[in-house]
Amino acid sequence: MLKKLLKYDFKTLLHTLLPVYGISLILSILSNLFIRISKITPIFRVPMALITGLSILVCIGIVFITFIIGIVNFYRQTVKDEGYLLHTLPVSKNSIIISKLTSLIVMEFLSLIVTLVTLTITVNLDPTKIIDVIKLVIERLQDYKFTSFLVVLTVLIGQITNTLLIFVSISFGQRHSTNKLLYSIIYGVVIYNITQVITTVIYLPILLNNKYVDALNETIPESSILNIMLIIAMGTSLVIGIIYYILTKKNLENKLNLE
Amino acid sequence: MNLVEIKDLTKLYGKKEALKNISLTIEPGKIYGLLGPNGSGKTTLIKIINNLLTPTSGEIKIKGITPGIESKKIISYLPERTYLNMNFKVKELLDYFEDFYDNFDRKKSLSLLKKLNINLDDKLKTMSKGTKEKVQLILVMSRKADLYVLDEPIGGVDPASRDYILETILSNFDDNASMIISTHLIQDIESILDNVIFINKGKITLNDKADNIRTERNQTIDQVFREEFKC
Repeated sequence: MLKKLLKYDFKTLLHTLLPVYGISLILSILSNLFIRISKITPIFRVPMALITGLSILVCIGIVFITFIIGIVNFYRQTVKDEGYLLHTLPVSKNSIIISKLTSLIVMEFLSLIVTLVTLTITVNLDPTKIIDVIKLVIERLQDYKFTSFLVVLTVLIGQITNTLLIFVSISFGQRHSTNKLLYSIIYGVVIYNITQVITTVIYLPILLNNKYVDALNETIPESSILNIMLIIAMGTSLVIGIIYYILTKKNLENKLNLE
Repeated sequence: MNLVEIKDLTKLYGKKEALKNISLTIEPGKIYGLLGPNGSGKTTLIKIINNLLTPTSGEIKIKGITPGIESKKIISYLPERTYLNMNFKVKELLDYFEDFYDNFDRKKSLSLLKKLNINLDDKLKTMSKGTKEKVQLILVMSRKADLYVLDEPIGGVDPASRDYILETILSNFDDNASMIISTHLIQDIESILDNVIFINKGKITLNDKADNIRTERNQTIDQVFREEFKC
């Protein structure tokens, strides 16, 4: 059933996001054209500046738009009218949460790729040069393979946890009979701040330890110290994410309050 | 075996009792009218049957099992509101139901949609409220379920279409299946009811065969309801 849920979650997200990605691509192509034309005909400099500015704004905003649309979909399908359908399907709450989470994380990754592509077109970057830069970065990171892997994993887990923070806030907000959205935002702020305090307490021994502080001040920090710090950050984020997940599931299972 | 067995069921919203020690059985092959004024507990009871709410205390069994994934396979539920994705075309909704419900009969739904001249390529958001309700009802009634739970199935449709909808309900209703209909339009549906359940302030005040009520009181169910719940 998870596959089927994923199919429809991706379908719903793509239905809204593909036009946004399309507009961004068109704007970047137009910007590219205007940059070329304005070099020959200076009269086109003003429209070129406007379109390029707009295109860059849209490019940068795509990741944010994707996240917002994903969250709106979660809210609409899970706790609003469409929840009557979702929660009466013969599927587990685990499948529902995993499907929503996976589809949103994948779409965010896709939006990053779209941003890179459209920015490349907008500012007329040579794709071979970008590939050269990527190759150079990979080459430089040869000595930091494990650290690089940890960085990617920490960012991924951090993003999953951030998304689950929104899910858990909505799952608490929907328990109220009125102003569900407002309560969701309030829960979001409260849960975020509680988490920040707990995280700070966990990081305190590191922040007060000269060995780690000195290591961070180095141009190229020792990888073993970086690894330890990344593992702690990742572990903390993972535990918090699991707690958010369990609370979301419990709320949807036992405290669902559809209008 | 009874299809639904409810024993001493209570549901609290904070301190407010929405259902108070309700006990009820739903037998197979019968149509039940769940009738009561606004805020009487009808929707709470329906939500508990559909596992959209968990009871505070008491027990509920659907074919011997606690509401959950398995009970959702055998209950076909029509909520009182438009609950489908408005951006979906009718044919996409058929795909959706076919994907998630093994007992969905696509042929039956296609035939019903054709009768009502509903275009498969139309998006739900382009339809009138009444047509949306018809599409929802067709989807729900195209499942070969053991229990159909319909919350206000004819509330938004014009009187002329109500007969068609009732006919659709009856003609797609298996002899062994049961149905719970909750509505305020008692006059329109009372002819199809086998049993009547009156609920008020979270308590069941009447639970009997429709014919018995009519004979004993020498009134229609609608008249009994109006008398019972007079303001």
